[in-house]
Amino acid sequence: MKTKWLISVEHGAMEQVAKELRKTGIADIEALDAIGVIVIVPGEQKIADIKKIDGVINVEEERDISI
Amino acid sequence: MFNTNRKKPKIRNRVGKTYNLKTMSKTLKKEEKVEYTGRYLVLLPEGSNTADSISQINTISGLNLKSSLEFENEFFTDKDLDKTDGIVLDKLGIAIVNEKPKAENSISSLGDNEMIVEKERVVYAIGMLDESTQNYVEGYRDAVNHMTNMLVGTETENFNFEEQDSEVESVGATWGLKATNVVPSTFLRYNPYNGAGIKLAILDTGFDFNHPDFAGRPIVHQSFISGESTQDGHGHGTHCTGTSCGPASSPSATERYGIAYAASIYIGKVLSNGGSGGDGGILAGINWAIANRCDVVSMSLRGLVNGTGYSAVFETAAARALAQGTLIIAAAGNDSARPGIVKQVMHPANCPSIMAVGAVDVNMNVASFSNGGLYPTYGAVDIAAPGVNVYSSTKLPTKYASWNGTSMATPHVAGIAALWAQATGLRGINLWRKLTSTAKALPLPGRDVGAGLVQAPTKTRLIKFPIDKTPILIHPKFPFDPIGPIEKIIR
Repeated sequence: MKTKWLISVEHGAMEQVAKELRKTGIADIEALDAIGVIVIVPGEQKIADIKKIDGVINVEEERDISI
Repeated sequence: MFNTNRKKPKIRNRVGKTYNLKTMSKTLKKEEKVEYTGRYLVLLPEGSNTADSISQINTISGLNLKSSLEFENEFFTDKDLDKTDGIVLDKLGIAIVNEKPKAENSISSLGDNEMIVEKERVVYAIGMLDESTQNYVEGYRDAVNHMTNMLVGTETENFNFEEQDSEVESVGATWGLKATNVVPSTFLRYNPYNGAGIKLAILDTGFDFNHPDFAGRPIVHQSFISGESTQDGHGHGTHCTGTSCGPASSPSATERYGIAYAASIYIGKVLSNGGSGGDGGILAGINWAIANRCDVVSMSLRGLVNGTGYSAVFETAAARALAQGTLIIAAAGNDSARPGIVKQVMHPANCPSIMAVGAVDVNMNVASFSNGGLYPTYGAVDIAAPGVNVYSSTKLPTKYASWNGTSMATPHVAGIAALWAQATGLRGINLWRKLTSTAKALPLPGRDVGAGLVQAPTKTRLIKFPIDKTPILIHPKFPFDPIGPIEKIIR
């Protein structure tokens, strides 16, 4: 399974960032409004390209977590 | 948000000496006058939007107001405000209006149009008291309360037999509950708090809904693991839930193990039955907990960190959670092998806005596996809790088990956070400060235990003596009352 990316987003920019992500061809987008984070399953995009989107604060790859 | 950025006011006393407000906080002020800033607060009609309100105010009064939305992150300063007739706070539906000669009459006209107008008061933040001042004031308050109770008696709440019954039953409480004062070891203290009214989320492997100790207890739950229900197929989540929110008594448990036994339980399954997951699911769980207005989130989980640094995404999320009144508490991790190897606090507990919990044993030694705060600016252990030989519930058919780990320490802090939230009404960063400021200092490096051993709020049990006179208290070093000879010298 492809590693997800975690994107922190500026206040009030969730919809705009989600729209821009869709434009780049990303279909699997999960918006976590209470904490201002979007989780995506990336395609051929690069993290650097996502960081260039207005309203994006940071982009990280999902990590494995355990008890 | 709005930043007044005012200087500390100076106050002159009768002999002309000047104190700043901080010094004066220990002095009782006899006269309290309401001070005004010269501005007005206008409460806009319920349900009206900012743009319409600005237009309406302009029509009525001729004032040209701005919206807070016009400022980045809705943050503006006094200077910004001074440049306008006023600013409407979009999220609150309130306008701050400047006092101007032309405004005096026009402001009064707003009151005739379904708007409530008030003069803006000067306020001083109680929360800005330094810790020693706060202790002084609290000590003063306690002394007055104590004196009042001695003179006129106290309410019957000090003799609530139901509470005493539960205490008697909990003589067989876990060592962790005793060490953290959830069950005080002295009869002079008692704990009336149970977490009632507090929402506590446990993000873990789920929960065993068939466990008899939780029969009839309402539990809100949500799985973030694809293809798995919230039913705990591992046992870890049921253990953590037991410590933080387990019952006050149980017919089958050998000891009382639950802390906030009346808290509302929110189970978010973010780890699979195999005990693993991705941190995207954990963010989804945190988001769910905040959306459900949970006050405390307990996360007994960790992701390995090999290099330096912490997750900026998790830090942003945790800071936003704190700002919304949700305190996230996470395990420091079990990767150390003391005394030789001390590993760093792991992800996500290493984020500055997440409270990291280390583990101690019954002898108040750092648990050999407990990670430490290795870096000066982040990744600190903030607090410690019992994490060795912790007895709690687990999935059936085992039902109960004693386990080790910072995973076991974390729900101790979460449960006690719920008790403090109930006792004080504090949330978010203020609840964090209450937990760390009331922790019991340990003779161990702060790197390993932070502020010390977490402590639950308790009350003093007042015992009425059947005596008419105030007893004469004699200092053990003075076998005779020293007041006598001193009085003689004075005469």
